[in-house]
Amino acid sequence: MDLAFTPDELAFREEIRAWVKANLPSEISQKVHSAMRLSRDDLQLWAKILGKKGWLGWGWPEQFGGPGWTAVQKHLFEEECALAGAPRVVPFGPVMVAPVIMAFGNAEQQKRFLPGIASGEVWWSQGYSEPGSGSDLASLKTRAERVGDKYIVNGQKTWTTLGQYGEWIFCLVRTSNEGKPQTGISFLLIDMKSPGITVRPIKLLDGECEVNEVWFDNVEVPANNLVGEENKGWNYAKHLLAHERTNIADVNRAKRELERLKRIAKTEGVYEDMRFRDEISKLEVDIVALEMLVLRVLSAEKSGKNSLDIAGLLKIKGSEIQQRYTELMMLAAGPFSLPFIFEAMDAGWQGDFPGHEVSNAPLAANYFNMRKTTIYGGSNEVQRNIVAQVVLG
Amino acid sequence: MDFDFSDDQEQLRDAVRKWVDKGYTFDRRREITHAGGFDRAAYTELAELGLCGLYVSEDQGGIGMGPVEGMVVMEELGRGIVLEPVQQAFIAGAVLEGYAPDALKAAWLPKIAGGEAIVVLAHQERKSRYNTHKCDAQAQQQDGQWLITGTKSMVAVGDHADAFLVPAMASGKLALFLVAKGAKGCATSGYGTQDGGRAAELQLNQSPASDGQNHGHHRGLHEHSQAVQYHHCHLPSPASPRGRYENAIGVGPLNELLRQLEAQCTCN
Repeated sequence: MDLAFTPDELAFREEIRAWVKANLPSEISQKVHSAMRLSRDDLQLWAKILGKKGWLGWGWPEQFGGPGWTAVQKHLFEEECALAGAPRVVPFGPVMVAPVIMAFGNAEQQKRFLPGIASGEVWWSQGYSEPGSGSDLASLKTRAERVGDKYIVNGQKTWTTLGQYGEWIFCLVRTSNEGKPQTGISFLLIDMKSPGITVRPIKLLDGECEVNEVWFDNVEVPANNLVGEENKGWNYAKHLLAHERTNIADVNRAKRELERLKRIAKTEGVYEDMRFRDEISKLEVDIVALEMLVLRVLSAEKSGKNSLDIAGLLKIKGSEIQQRYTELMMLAAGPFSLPFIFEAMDAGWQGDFPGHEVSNAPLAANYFNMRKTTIYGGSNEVQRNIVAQVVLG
Repeated sequence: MDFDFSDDQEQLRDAVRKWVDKGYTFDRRREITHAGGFDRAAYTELAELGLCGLYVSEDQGGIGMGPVEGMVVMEELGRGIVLEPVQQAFIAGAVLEGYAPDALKAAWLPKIAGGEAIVVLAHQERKSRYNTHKCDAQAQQQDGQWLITGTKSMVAVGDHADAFLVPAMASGKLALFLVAKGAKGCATSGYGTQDGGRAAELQLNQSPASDGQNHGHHRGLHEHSQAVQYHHCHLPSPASPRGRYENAIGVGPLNELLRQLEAQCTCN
């Protein structure tokens, strides 16, 4: 057993740290460190900076331009970005649809779509969930009817994250009603400028419009936007899930937010309170434990052992930790997290926040936003069922 | 021992429930939130039901009821998550009835009961959190007047209130003062709150307290504690005493919301 990183891995970490320090704009990192609102431009700027370096597709195979990093190197890269205050990379293009196009798309599609994704120029959205199909995604009803050299798409997607910025959307659509629901689903790439598409933002509990509804009304999609074979889309989507192992723990961000929690607790005077410090300590212990679990998975990958079954545990613990640090931050501010001043969550707001601490402005909003984490990405209840079957037998 | 409500209490409950069901729909509440979080017209409607005078004695224009009635009212207002802070009228009514000199009672209680005067508790300070005895605001006596200086936060509907109950240190001891909104040096700055309601910061700079203030310093902390206790007891959240599983916080709109969610059930 050896819990240390190798000298090469540590050198790699230093290299990444230096590059991020030199290339991450401070206006953006300052916003991230105090949870101020990020604009579309902020997110796309960072994507393009990474893209220019060839690191937006940091997990891509080398044959498609990826840097060829090991699992540990990818983890260190993600960690250094998170600790430095880089925004979360919008995953739909570089992390979700690109691997599917690489694995199952044809050469023409790879040539057409991958460069725009790799450079950060093109914003992608994910069209999976529907009003009637969330946990039971296979029951989806948005249909694509083949007519000549086109598909005609009708239906509705929901919870489309940042869909209001999307230029392209990858959709799971129904192309057959025969057999089991999973066997009638196809993976279709759709231009969001197509006539018949309507996007409507949904305002969430924190007052922001992070997600949308997207309607498809007789949308014409060229047939050569179908990835792989018709009715095999479900398999391609599952393939994606198999690749998302340790990211889901979000432990890197947890480490950064723990420091923010301590800053807030000190400013608010509760850091002196032994009982509150106990709560911070318990959380810190949980974060270290989760990090150890992540490193265990990475080292198992390195040694060739397959530990896919840990993913559910990472998601459960990771999401509970996200909820806990947002909750503790809000508790630290106490009554001073009550004011809801929308503009105060923009960096550079010149007003006077109640209590003179504008860093308290987003705390309740963050807490509310994080209520989603135990529900999305495979709800924690479903994850526990899987753990019971796969891990505990 | 009797945990049942009287007929009068049930009638009071029905009256408030009817007002909430008919007069305070989700749409009205949403409009009020969009407009800033407080609607004077709605507060006046509640005053017309007699609710602002619930704890005010009958000879001061109120209906002279007690905490059980207060609980019933707050349960029903809680079902509709009503934004207008009637509980502040309870606090002001109870505190003035219990401790104010006669002149002050006569000047303010009828107006509180009638809804003409919104009087709110202004006690939250930056460093005090939940410690009611930590108070930085100061009161100095000058020419027979008490001048109050300090900042209070999160004052319910503070920028719409007509007067404030302000704890301040007088000669090193905590005392409670009533300051009218037009008093010299008195300024408010309002904002929305997370629940869709409204609050404000209150700045007092040598602001004169309303006449007839001298309650006696040694009772300041006691009055203040009472006021804060009333504040905490009348947050619209008590559980139903009948043992039914009915979380009174916004049960009406909560049921409606659940119906809507079931209709478009999606769990990611």
